[in-house]
Amino acid sequence: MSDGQATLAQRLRLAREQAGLSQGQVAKLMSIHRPTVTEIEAGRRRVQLDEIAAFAKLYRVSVPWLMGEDGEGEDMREAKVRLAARELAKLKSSDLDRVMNLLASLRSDSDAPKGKKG
Amino acid sequence: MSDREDLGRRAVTAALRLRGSAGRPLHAPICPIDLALDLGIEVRFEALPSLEGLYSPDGPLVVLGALRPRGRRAFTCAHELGHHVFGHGLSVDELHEEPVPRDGNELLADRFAAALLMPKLAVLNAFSARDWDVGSCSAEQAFMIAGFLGVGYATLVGYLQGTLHMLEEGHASALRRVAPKTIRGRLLGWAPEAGLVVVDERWVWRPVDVGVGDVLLAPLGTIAEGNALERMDGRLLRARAPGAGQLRIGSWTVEVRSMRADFTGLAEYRHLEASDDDV
Repeated sequence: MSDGQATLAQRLRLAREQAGLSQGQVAKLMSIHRPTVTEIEAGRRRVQLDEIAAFAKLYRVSVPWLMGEDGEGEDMREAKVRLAARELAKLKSSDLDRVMNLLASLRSDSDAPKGKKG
Repeated sequence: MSDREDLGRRAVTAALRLRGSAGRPLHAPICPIDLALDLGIEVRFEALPSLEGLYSPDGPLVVLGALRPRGRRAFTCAHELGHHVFGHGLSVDELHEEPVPRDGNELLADRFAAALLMPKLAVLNAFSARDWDVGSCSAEQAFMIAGFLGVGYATLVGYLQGTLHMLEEGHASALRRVAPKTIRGRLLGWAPEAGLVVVDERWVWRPVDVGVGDVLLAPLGTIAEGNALERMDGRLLRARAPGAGQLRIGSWTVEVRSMRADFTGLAEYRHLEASDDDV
């Protein structure tokens, strides 16, 4: 399995868990078999771009983030973190990590492939 | 007009305007989570011990503390909607065990939330539809109306007295001295650890939202449909699993939606039934 494939598999599993869905629920929502979801998340099955877009839509995350990118440039992210520091400082550090991961995975309109917005 | 009065007026105006533009009549109770989703806002539940709620204009996104009681989460969601409506930036509301003084944007969002969930017309309608008088209501009646409006008992009593001026201070104090657990005990004859929702045939406009394990006290003869509910005894039902169901008697029907108390994830999936495929 390539590094890219492993990252994709790992992020698909993380995104599903962040969405609060089980593999069985995902299979039902996407009209596929549950073992297919298991195979994809284990990195044992190749995933087509249109399938990645469908997962991103279901999980409300960006396609680039699923494929291993940070979702937005580091400079932009750091600037946002600085701006938000006073607000985010109210959280415990373990909670802050969770919130930052969520914000990084967010889908935005610019992330959606053309013609596949949703 | 004082700054506080001006702030209150701005909050009420914005809340009522949002209800109007979103097709939510002023006399009806609402689910603020459904409203946020209808507005295109992503809503997530996260089990973060220090978090009450969070609003991020990026997305936009609302995160609700999954460890908080249902009424509290609804109020927090309405509060975060206030930040959205007023164009505030990233806002984190940390958990406080005791009430803390609020000012500026936080006070504005609080006032907005209360006005959104408990417009005067909705409160009056809820009581009058049951032939109950707000000013002399019993603790059990206030408890039932709080559940109907989707807010906590103490929140409703405080708002009726402090903002809507429908309760005398003495009567409000008497109501505050009765704990919700005591009310649950009076209504059932025993006090369930889980939540209790009292449903009657005047429950219209919005679904009945419960957590798995919660008990529903419904009118005698109510028929329950769906896998989410099981009958305990006579008028008592229990939410046994996540999902949707219905209660009905004659021509009255209301949807019941059940979610796991510890659900974390996207709000739109909170009532999804478990899959038979999952082991």
